[in-house]
Amino acid sequence: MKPRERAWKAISHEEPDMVPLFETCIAPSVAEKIMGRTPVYYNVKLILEMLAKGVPLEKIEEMAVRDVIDLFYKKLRLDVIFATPFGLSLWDFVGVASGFGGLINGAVDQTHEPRVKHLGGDQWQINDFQYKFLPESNMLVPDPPFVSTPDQVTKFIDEHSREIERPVWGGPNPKILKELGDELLLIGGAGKLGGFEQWEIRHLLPWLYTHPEVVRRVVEFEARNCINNIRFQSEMGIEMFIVDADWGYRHGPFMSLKHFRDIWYPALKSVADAAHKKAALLILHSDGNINLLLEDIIRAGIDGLHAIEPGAGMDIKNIKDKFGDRIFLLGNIDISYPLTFGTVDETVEAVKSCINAAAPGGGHILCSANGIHPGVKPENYVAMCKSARRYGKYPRLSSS
Amino acid sequence: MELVGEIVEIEEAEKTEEKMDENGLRWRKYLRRIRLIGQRKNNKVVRELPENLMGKIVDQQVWLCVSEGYEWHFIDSRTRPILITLDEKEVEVLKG
Repeated sequence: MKPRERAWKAISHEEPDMVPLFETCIAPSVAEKIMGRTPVYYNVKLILEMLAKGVPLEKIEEMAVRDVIDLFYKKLRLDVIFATPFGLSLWDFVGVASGFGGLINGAVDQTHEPRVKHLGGDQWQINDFQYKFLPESNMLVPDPPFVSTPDQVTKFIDEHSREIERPVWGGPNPKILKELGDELLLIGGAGKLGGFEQWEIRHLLPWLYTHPEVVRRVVEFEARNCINNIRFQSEMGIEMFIVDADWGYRHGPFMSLKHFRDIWYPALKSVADAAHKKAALLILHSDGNINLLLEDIIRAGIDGLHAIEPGAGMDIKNIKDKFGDRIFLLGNIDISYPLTFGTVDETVEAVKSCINAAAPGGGHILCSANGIHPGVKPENYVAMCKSARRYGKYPRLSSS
Repeated sequence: MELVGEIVEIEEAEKTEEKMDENGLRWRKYLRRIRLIGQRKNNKVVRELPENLMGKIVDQQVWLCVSEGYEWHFIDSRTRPILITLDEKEVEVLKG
């Protein structure tokens, strides 16, 4: 069975030949151990250094795409991957990393070669803004933040609301589509939707009580950006999207159910409806404990849920038993313990337990409970992939 | 129509058959009894079926793995609500 067919069968809640494998991203330090060479893929600091030296983005992209094909397809034999190599677009530089990402996703002009300058230490300048590189998390954050007050946010949205109507966001890579499109299931990133990272925790969270209309505008703006990304990418053949939410911390959601229903629910529903209008499916990604929101999230129309963080109290077995007739699940090997500090044996046990909980009957794609960050032990991640193949074979019809 | 059922019980096939695969895993033939409970629409289970199909038991002959780590092949609805989407051939048999 081809990986693409395997993934679609699982998504359709049928039993494929084995549990499909997916990963959102793999940190360059881990990728290097697996590949035996330094990757350009997702290697934010290396890419910045290359851009600062005048290496054309096209050349860097070519190298990163080769890494994606070697790492995800040839080495790890994954079934589902992103069609966009991480680390290439400004979205990766300033979107995911910065917080306030959805606004930036839509607003940063990516039609030109980025102008990158090393300012010394971990400080970088990209176009007109300054950033700090955080080596421990392989991320860039705006330093200082782009906007800090409700008035600045309102002005920012007013000034950039037209820019998200055109495809400026780093979309699917044509070479990945051409080389792997028939073989693997390639998915697209819709963008960020009212998630909580550093900037949002300091700004959006208190504004929920002091300036709720500004929060609503941010979430609506990000939803419009997601809808446009889905429109552009579905025209390139992408059939499934991940919307990046991050709505929970370890013990619960960042917002009350009342705030969620008032501001986030309509935005999520509009994004799910947009995907379905294009005959595409929508996966919601969230870190943290979002148990309180799940019923509403599913009612909003999502098709799949990622990453079901066990360390935050997300129990994939309970979710499968309660919602498995309505959504498929992508998860959930814990990145906070077995993959990071545990042994190979503990990782294998976690894989067996995850398969036992989520795989019966289909509707499960196995992956880490977020992404492979720099703290993950490479040998544990490799063991995770191998043991998923060893213990993830489905019952076979006797006629087959 | 994509039919959906829950596994009522799993029993060994009348004639015991066992085989080993290329990875050294041992497989044995079983009968899965599946009770129809609905159909899939837009990838969601809708618990509606024509009267002649609702509750009907379908027997499915399957190879299940009996090696260590494969307890999940033997879960039935007495412990968890495991749903099975039937493939086209099985649906055709029912229509016939």
